[in-house]
Amino acid sequence: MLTFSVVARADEQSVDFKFSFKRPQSISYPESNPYSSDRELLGKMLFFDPRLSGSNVTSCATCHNPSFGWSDGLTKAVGHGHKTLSRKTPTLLNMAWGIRFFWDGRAESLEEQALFPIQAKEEMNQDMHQLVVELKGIKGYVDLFEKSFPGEGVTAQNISKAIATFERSIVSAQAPFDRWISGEDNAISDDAKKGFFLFNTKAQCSKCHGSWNFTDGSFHDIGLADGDRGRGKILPRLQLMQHAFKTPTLRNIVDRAPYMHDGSERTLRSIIEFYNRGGKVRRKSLSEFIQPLNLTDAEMSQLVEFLNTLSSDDTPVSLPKLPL
Amino acid sequence: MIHYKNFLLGAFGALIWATTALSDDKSPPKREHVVIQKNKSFSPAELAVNLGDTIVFKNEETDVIHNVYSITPGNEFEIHYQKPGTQTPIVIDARKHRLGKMVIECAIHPGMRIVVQIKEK
Repeated sequence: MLTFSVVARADEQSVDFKFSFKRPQSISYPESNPYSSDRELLGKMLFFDPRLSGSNVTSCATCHNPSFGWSDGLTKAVGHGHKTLSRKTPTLLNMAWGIRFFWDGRAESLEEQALFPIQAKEEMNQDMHQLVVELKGIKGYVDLFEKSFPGEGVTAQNISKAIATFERSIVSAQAPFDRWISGEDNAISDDAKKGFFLFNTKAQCSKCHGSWNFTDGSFHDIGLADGDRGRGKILPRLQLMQHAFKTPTLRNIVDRAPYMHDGSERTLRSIIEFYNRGGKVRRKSLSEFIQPLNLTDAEMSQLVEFLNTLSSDDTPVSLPKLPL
Repeated sequence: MIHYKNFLLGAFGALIWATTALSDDKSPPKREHVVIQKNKSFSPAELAVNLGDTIVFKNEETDVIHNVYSITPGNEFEIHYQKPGTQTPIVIDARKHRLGKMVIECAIHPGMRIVVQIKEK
């Protein structure tokens, strides 16, 4: 009876929070790069084509693998020459609603973002001029570029536009959580409902993860003990941005372990324990929301139970046929 | 002696005239522009100011802190943590600012942006 009344109360009080978590009805595309099915198809082909790398063996999908929630399952990304990079591969889920891109926000659009890894020597190590020449030599691509960008053809800008269009189509499907806030009361367990209430109250998760996509698109120093300055490299004079990294989405989070920008947390439970301790490092840039939470063991389990409800049973991604 | 006194009076009068004339030029008076931060956005989203004007940033949120800054070359500035209910003036001083565009954002809320055009008087 006591348990029932606690759930009922949490359920009742959660009504106010639910409103912030309703999914948008459609994907948003910028006026500068409107949607077309040809652009999406071309972008998908380029995304999965290893010839976009200097070595011709690494594609965007090598790191952003749909089988691992559009990440790679590794602690840190592995780039050109099998060298380990400094940060974990971020997911591409729901990037259509992104504001800035990369862990440190150095790109202002998906179009701008798409060309960075292709050209970065430590990532795909591809000369862009050479890539345009290579693609112009493949008839299947020349035809599809012409259909997608009439009168413009193969250019670096159109490569980025096509990839960005495809990336905007990568959207997490309906999860049990979505069904619950839409009124299906039994879509998630009582413990998950309590976890959602804690998420918005005592645990303070919603301070940064409080939207339908479970991110504020912002940058915070959460007190991880590594030397990476994150957004502070882009904004060196802003104290608050030192050691700050972009808040990742929590959609389909169970598919993407290990977690954090440095891959230092192995499980959802260990992340919650990390936040419950108030992070690992105290410094001037630390977010004001990072402080000991005094969560009980049961409350931490409820939070994990809630996070498990954010995963959708997405349709497996089909691989495109590539032209020779 | 009388001549010397007249000379001093004349010089003083000329100085008064020059000061009046300089302050009475055709340039517009210095203005104060108010930029409101509410619902995690700036209002207005675009602004034209003259050198010498002041922009007052007012945080009118109920419980949201902002960190306003610009990294536009030649127009860099930062307002550190700005709590709700507070306001901070930024003088568009010729020694610290350049003519042209100044993009201002909030470090905590990356969607917030205002574009300011700085013009000569």
